[in-house]
Amino acid sequence: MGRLVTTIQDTARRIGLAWTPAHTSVAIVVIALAVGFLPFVKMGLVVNGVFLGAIIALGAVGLTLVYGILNFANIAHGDYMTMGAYTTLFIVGYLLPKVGVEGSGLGPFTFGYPLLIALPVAVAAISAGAVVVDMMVYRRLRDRGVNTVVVSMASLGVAIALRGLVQIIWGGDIERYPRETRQVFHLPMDVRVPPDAIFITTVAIILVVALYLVLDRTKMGKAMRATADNPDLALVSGIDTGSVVRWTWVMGAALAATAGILLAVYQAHLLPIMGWKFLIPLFAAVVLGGIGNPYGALVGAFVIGVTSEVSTQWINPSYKPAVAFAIMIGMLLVRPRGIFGGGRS
Amino acid sequence: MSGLSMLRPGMIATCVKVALGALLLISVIACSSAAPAATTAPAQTMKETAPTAPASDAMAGSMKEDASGVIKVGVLHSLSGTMSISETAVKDATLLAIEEINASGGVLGKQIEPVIEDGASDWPTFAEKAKKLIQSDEVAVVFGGWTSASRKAMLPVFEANNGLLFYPVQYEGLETSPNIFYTGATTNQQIVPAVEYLLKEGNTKFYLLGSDYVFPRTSNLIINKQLKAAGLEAVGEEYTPLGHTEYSTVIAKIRSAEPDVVFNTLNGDSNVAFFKQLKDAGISPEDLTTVSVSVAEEEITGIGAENMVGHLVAWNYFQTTETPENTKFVSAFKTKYGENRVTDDPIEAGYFGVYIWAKAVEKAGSTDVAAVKEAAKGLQFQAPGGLVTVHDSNQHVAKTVRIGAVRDDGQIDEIWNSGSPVVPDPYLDTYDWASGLRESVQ
Repeated sequence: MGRLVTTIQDTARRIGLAWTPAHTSVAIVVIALAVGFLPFVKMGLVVNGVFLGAIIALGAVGLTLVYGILNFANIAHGDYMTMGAYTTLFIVGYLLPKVGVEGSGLGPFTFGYPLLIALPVAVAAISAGAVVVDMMVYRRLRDRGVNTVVVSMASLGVAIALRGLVQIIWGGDIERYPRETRQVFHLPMDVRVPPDAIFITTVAIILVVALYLVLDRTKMGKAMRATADNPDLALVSGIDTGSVVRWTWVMGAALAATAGILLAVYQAHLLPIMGWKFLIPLFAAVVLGGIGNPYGALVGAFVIGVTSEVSTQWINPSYKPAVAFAIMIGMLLVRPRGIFGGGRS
Repeated sequence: MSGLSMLRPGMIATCVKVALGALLLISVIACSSAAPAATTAPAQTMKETAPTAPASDAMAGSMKEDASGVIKVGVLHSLSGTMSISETAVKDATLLAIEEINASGGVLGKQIEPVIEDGASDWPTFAEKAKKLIQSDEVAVVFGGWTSASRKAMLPVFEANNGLLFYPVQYEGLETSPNIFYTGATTNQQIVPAVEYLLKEGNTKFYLLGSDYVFPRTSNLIINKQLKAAGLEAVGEEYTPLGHTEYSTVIAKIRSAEPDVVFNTLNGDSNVAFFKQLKDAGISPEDLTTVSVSVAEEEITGIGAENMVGHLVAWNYFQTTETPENTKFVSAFKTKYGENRVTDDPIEAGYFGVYIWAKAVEKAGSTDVAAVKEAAKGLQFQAPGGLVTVHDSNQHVAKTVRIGAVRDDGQIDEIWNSGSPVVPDPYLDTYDWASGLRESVQ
């Protein structure tokens, strides 16, 4: 039976289908369970989980791209988020007021248009920074052909260095973007939606659609996918792997920085540790979706977001990351290649 | 074998469709709820309508009065981690007040039921727990917080959900959230009068020593302005990280600067190290006056009274404060928690905060946030530390300022007090030398 499933999966994969009948049956069971549980679950928590999932999605998609193409777990990914959030704080709190651009509160949102100006600038800065870090650290290691574990350890060093940089510049204290008070929307079933969450989800959706268009329609996207499939073959086919690597960092870091900024808006504060603590849900989403599979990571992100939020109905909210961690461990034991079976084991 | 190649156009198209569908759904939700949200958004409008129609605010989550006849309140302090040593005692005082109020019939004829949560000395956890208390437990009010960081983390949660927080600790001022009552001192009820006192005593050379975070830095910003107005300048200013315990270098610096007084805003464990090493260096309070604003009876127990004898502290309340209310409070606290326990300023503020909220609820006839806020204006209460009065607009309380010297038994002898309660002025608007302070933080 197990063999049959494997054969079906392999065939499906060969002809390009990642979805098998096994998936369908599992999906039906999962959906049935979810619907069955729904009456016992607070809708507000489910909705919170979706918003959290949108932020996890941006981080996880970048993380899985880097994993798929550069073949190592980038432990510094969470700190790219932190850098994005703090760079934005520097722009909205220091640079823009200097040139006379100030103001907080925009429509129903707590933040003002300075944030909308700062967001793309900070994202560009972090992308450029990620390329520089790659040149300074990771490329040297790649050229020496070291083990991927060593590269991951190097990224741990980068993570600690970045966090130290944030603490030196901004200190360890809690910071926040200039903001106005906005009340949450009260919807039926005791659902409370902060207006900012609508902005966050919209940005996340736009970026995910943009990412799809880049990966699917552009030459660079195709080159990235080819490199991920088989780096050696890609090289001999004349694909410029150097520029593939650069664009992977640009896209991965841009998504991470955006996730960091949106997280700071959503939780309404910044701390140097914010991105680092977010690493567990990010990795859990990546593992759940299959390592290297950006669309899997997207699904994984929402599963992790909703599950960990809903879990707080029964368990202490401090253990939220533990729920993500448990899902990740369980997934690695049962299905190391992720829900869709396409990822690396 | 990467997943990138696994995705076929059909599946991707589905993803995009789902995404666009979600976007549409969210915009519909946003539009349909934008109108009612707009009417409840500004806190001012609610203030106007609330007193006459407290029930009208049901939208903003005021259905906290349980049908079973209890009113749930949240108690949110660090019961684990580095801050638990200080915050556990405040939690105890809050529970004591709840117990006393319940024993005398409760509020609005209902018993108060505390929901206790642990902030775990971790600021995002405070925000998480505050959200849980408001949204899941639907508590009428939360008593909690200690560090400014925990308050700043919780503030957006209370404002967005129109919750109510009673914050019991002295802090750096420069804040007036419509959803927070500040029962501890602001700067003009502790730091500013302490500096005034020291100036009057003839001290001219001030050395500022603090932990490296927002409270000491803001306090020293204010002290520097105050000294400048008196034609003086601090002879030194030094910050050490929280948890720092090596003070020989700092003490050497203090020696060479030859100050009359060290104004100490160190927090936590650092005080233990600082005062021990000061004593080891042979510097006594006779040689050098120190004034501490974050060291109370509870902390003196940890530092060791023998290391602090004769040093000064500034607060609004000491366990030795002589009022009939305090005699009752100290004996009730010791009876409930043990003879060896001490009371201090934040403990007292955590205690009387519950009474102020309860009185406001009785007056409003409801636990509705807007109604309670309105009813609390000008409310008076005979607290253990003396009469406290809630300010009409800034939601801080007027309270008496006291300066005392540490005794060898760890208690504090009052050597000066302000005579009458000092009206809270969190932005120091009434002080000429502090002009520009309000603008600097907004």
